[in-house]
Amino acid sequence: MNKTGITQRQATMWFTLYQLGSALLILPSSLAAYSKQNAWLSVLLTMILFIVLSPLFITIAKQMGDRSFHNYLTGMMGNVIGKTVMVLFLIAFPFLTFWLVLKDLSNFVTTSIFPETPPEAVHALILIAVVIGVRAGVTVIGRSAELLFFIVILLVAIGFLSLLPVLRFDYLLPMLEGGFKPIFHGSILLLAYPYLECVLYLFLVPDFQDASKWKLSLMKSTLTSGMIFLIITVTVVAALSEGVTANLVYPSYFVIRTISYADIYQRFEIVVAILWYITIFFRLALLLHVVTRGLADAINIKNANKLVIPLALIGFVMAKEVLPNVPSVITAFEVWPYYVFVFSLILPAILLMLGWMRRARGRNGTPT
Amino acid sequence: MTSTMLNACMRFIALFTAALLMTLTLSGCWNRRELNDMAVAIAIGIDRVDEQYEVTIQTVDPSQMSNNRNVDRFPTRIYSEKASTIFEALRKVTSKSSRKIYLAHLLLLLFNEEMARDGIKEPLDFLFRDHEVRPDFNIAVTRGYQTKDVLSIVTPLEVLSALDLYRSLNVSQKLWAPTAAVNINEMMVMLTNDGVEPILTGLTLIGDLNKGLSADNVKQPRPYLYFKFKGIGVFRKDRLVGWLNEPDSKSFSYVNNHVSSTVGSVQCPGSKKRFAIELVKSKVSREPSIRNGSPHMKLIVHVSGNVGEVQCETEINDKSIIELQELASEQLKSIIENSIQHVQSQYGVDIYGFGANFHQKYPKQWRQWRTNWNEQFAQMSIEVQMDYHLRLIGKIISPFGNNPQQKKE
Repeated sequence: MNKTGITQRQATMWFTLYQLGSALLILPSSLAAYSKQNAWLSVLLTMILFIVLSPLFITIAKQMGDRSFHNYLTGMMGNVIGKTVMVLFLIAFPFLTFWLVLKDLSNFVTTSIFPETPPEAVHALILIAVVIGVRAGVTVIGRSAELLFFIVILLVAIGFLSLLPVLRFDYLLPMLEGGFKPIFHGSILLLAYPYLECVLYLFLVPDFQDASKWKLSLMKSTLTSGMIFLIITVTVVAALSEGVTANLVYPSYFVIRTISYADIYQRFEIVVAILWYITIFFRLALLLHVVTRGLADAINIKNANKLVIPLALIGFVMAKEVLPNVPSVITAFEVWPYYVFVFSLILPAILLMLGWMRRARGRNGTPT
Repeated sequence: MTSTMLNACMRFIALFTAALLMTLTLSGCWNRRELNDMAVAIAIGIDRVDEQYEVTIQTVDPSQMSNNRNVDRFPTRIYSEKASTIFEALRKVTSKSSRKIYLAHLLLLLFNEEMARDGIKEPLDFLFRDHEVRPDFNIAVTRGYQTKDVLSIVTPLEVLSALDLYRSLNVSQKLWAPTAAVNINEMMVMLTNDGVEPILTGLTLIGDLNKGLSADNVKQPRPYLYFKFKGIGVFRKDRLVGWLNEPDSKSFSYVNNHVSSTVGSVQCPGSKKRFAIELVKSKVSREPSIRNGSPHMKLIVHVSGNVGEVQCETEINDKSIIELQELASEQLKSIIENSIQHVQSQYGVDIYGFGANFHQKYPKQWRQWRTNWNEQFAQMSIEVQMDYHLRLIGKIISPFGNNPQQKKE
């Protein structure tokens, strides 16, 4: 039995990479747009908010026991409603995110590195890797997360710690200038994207070798990626000042380009692109895994692997169509948090209440 | 038996196909650029010529950078095109050159004075937006000459004149101080942030322009034409409003902590002769405060220097060095005070970034000041406190030619 499923350590690393995913590159910019020089306070506040909200997901995981999320959902809502909700949820949340993440990737690559490469080529290459990964199963992805996690940490360290000599910490002052509201606004953004997407980790509960370790993975990964976000936000804002940061599309990439010591230690901004590729892979892999498993359960397909390639192909087409241009991505990003709350806060809250009602009604019934 | 053979065979074919496919995809991407298709631009000059931009690019001729180069051909090529946007002008160059301009190794960006007075925001947009350009090149404004001329001169020390300009700018900021090597990243910070106005260093040519554009310029020890970085240009928003003279420029470098070393001379006690001091360490710390509701800035100047040259009659001993130290300290203090006063009364723009200091320390008051900060700056009281130390005196003790033994008798 110890060959299948993932260990708590693997899941922690996978979740961390997932959370770093898209936000790594654009986060400082969108945070600085709201909370200016206090962007790093937004990251801290997000951590606190997440810790406050985490019991919601942990309780659901406990209620799930060793059932899959689909079985849990149908158990709560009945077969027809449960399956409908499941399918709608999958399309409207993880699958949509999957398209957007693909689009994010090609936007970055074609803006910053290869302007003449068609986005389809970028999409196709990463999709091949993701399809292979998802078909191979969570064990394989978990193990590759274990391998690549330290490379990511190393690259973050090389990239952002080499900025230390040029940091001007007075760019972080004055603290709390605009009051508390802009900081809160910024942290809502980070909370929704990516932290509350942890509702998707619930799909992985049955894959855990020991399901009770799920909450450990959740909290550890959140704190790890939170630390990394904090380091990145502080370095970017202290190196570039908030005004400049807010006007850049990819500040984390730009800031590495400014590194130049003694005309030798310079021009390694491509490490950020490598970072981004690695983290995006784990993001896409988790999203596609969730959609595949969820959909297979909902429409009673035994071999979920059969769905991987069709879903990836749909993603390939939709990624191109989902958003027409970069300004629309930026606009979409402004409303995205509130959209995400429907799936990541309201739905889990409803499930939790249903769970409590059932338990109250059937004290002597099935144990939870 | 046969089935395992077949399996092995299939395996081999599959691996072989995979390897073949990999070589196809790994050989490059859509965006590959061969080195011999690129013209590497090392400097760009932007001139304002009747409502259009005239963009001049200095590119490197790679075959001329090798050891066995042809002496008759020049290692740099200058292209120049007019268009209403920078991007168009750069692409237009391809009609004159067989190679596409590659901007990632840009060292220097020059504006002519007219362009700088017109506003540099618009021409800078392209250089930020384009993916090739790295944010590490320096910017300067040419005084009295078009950037086209400045980029075309032949300079003696480096085969690439842009490299000569770039190095000279960085060395002079470090060792002489009345220049400022502003890179594009710092420019962006100065343009976007509140409470600081941009500055750029000036660049001019001295000598005979026509003779300086040919290779003859470097065939003799004293060139017909040479360049000189001269003064710091003061900007209001993105428009040049005037120039600082040399002492004021130097004082600017002190206040903004750009000085790592410089030389200054001070009048001797009791005579018209002078002694020179090499500064080895200089740091100015700022203490913003509020007096009677208006901003007040206290600058604390920490300097240590060495005696470098003495024309005075006095002996150098522990008493006289204190005297010299006092004089030097007084002089630096008045230079700094005067130059800030000049900037306040003449231009009224906060190039020192004092506004940012007040913003950080007094965010509440800053909200009232920020809209008319430059007016506040013009009336602000400045206090300079000195912490000046002379340490070393060089290899001889008393002024050269004086014999301390004789005097003692």
